[in-house]
Amino acid sequence: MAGLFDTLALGSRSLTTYRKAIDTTGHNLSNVHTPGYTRQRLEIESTTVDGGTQGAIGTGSDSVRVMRLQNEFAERQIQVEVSVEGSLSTQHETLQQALTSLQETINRSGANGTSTNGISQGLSEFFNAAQGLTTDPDSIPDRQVLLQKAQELATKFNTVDGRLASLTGAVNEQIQSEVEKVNSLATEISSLNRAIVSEEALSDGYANDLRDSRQAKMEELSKLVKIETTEQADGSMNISVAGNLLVDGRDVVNTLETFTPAGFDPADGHLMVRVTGQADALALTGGSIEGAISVREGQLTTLQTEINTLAETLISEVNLAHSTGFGLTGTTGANFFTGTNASDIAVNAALLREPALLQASAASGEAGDNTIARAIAELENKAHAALDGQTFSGKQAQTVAWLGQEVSNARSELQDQATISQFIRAQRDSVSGVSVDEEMTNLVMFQKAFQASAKLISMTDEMLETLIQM
Amino acid sequence: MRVTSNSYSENLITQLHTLARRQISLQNQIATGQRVQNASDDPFAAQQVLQLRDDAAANTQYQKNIQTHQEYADATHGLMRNLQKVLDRSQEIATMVDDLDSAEDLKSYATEIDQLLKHAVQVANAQHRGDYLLGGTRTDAPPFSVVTDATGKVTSVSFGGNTNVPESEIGQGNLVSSRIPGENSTGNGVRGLVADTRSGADIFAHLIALRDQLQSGDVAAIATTRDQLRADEENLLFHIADNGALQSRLEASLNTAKDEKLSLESQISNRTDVDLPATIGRLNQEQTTYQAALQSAGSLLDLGLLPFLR
Repeated sequence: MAGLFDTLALGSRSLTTYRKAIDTTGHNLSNVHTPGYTRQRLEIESTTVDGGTQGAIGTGSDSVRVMRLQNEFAERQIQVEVSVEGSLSTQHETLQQALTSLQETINRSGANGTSTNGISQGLSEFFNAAQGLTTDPDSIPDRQVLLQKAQELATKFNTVDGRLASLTGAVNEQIQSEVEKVNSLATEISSLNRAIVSEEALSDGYANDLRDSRQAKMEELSKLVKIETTEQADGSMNISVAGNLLVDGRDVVNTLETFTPAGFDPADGHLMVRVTGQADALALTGGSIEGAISVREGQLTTLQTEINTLAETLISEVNLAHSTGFGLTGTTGANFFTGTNASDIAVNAALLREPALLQASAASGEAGDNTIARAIAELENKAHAALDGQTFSGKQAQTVAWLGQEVSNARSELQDQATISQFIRAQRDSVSGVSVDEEMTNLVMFQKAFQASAKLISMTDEMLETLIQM
Repeated sequence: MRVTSNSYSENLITQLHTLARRQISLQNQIATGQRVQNASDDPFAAQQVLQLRDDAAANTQYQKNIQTHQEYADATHGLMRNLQKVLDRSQEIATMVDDLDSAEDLKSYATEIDQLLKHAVQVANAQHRGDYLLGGTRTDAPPFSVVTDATGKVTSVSFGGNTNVPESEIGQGNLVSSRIPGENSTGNGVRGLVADTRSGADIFAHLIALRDQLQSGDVAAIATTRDQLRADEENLLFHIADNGALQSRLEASLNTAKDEKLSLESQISNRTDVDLPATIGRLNQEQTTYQAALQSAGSLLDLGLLPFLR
């Protein structure tokens, strides 16, 4: 049979409950802008005891546990989308840099009309200089112009090749540092697992804020590499990458490492990622590491091959014509270009020193013969088998347009992806996000309940006083 | 859907980013006057523009080539005019001898012819931009050299050049040569200017013959030489007419090339240049949207339950 003291106890329980509720609201309010924060709610239940003949008389309320209001589906979806976004944004960024490396930005306001600073401009100027030489093949100034334009073209090849090589290097450095980050995130998640398991083992409640931190770390990890997650009964989260378990409960069981696959020269920078100790590369399907590898092995390699093929064909075709010709002093057999590809193409230094040695004539002693100069000039409009039946400039324009299309595709994919991610984040926030208005309303509500409970205590006190004075 | 406190600000940031990106892209287009700068702006247009740029640059070079040919054609024309003067005077002398009896008079004309011969050799060895015009492809040495006897008299003029004429392009696949060989005894190719087997011309040999005939007073033989000199002149006139035809072809080609250049420029412009009024209009539209977004966000972000609570 309950007495007035029970009513006092009820009032005091009630005060505690609403103080806790106000604390939770305060916690939500102070984390309103904390990234990855999931709003919390104190679960309050009414308490009853077995009553007498009139039925159970309530004994007030009590707080059960603090809940995280999470949208598990949206959270999983965000992990997936973050991986896709990570991959796309790395690809877009790298492709954009590759396009910039080509220096084929069209400038219409230059002194020479429409121009670029790239190889296509160099080719055009080189062949035009050869064309100019055909009208006056023994003219030293015209020879100097051709040699200077050839040197500019060679330098452009060298520069573009160098830029693409350093871009590959930068991509590899990114892969390396991201793999290290994956490993350290795996360690952090395993420590959070340990903390969550021990905290939750002690109570009925959840380690809400630790779970929030873990969620944030998993998102960070998903950005780097696509992960699969499985929650265990004890509250820990297992993380695997492409079917390989990285985090098993409280322990990191595997780490990732970079390596150069067999058959590749480490200097060529074909860095891949595998589980430490395994032989084969991981088949990654998302995340910025996958994006970096895919763009490096795909577009970047293709681009380097295209530029090299262009340089190789130019070197061999021009040399083939030039070496059969004769210089003004009767010299023959010299090559016009030295080197074998885009990285080392250069104009024969002997010709640069002495333009008279340029072999523009097809016959010794015929300084006015332009056969060879014409053969070089006519290479411009010739379709070359090595260039898939295209002209030099046609091939370069095609390469530039192809890369432009790749950049443009990556950009629109990234924009589409951003819309999807934004939508899913909004979905998550609609459940987990803090609304100040809502919290303020709750605050007022809990304050009133707190005041009412206090009133109950003071009234019970008066009742006890009355009893004592009887 | 529940709207949370962060929803407003996060949405606003995304929207403002999008609007700012569009504005900067439009502003960039207006400032550069170009719709396409990078291949990623419009890959297909960029590819076409790169090739049109090549065509335009090649066109400029072809125009330069035409101008070089015009210079050579002009120089050769001057040379031919000078040779024509020599031939005119020689034929005049060859005709006058019919009315002369005195050996002294004939000899004095012989001296004049000798001077004319030397002058003609000098004319035929003319250079333009350091190239000997009549040497064929042997442009680095005088094509004609005189052979003299012990007394210093010119006995013959030898040709050291060849009959090759360098052709070069004045349009894609459109070859032209502004050179002519001094002498062509092969019967093939371009006719020689000074001497040619097909037309029977040999100016130097005929001048030497005329001089010697005047010297020896062989009036009967001079009549034959006179006919030969006429053949020389006919050959020269053939070349002058040819030169005229070449010059008008070059002029026509230059005009065509200039027209083509204009057309190429307008094709490039169509593909790259910005439609200024339309773009400015769009930028204004974006700016209005941006302002509206800022204004509505400003009042929304201020609102909340907080100010209304006591």
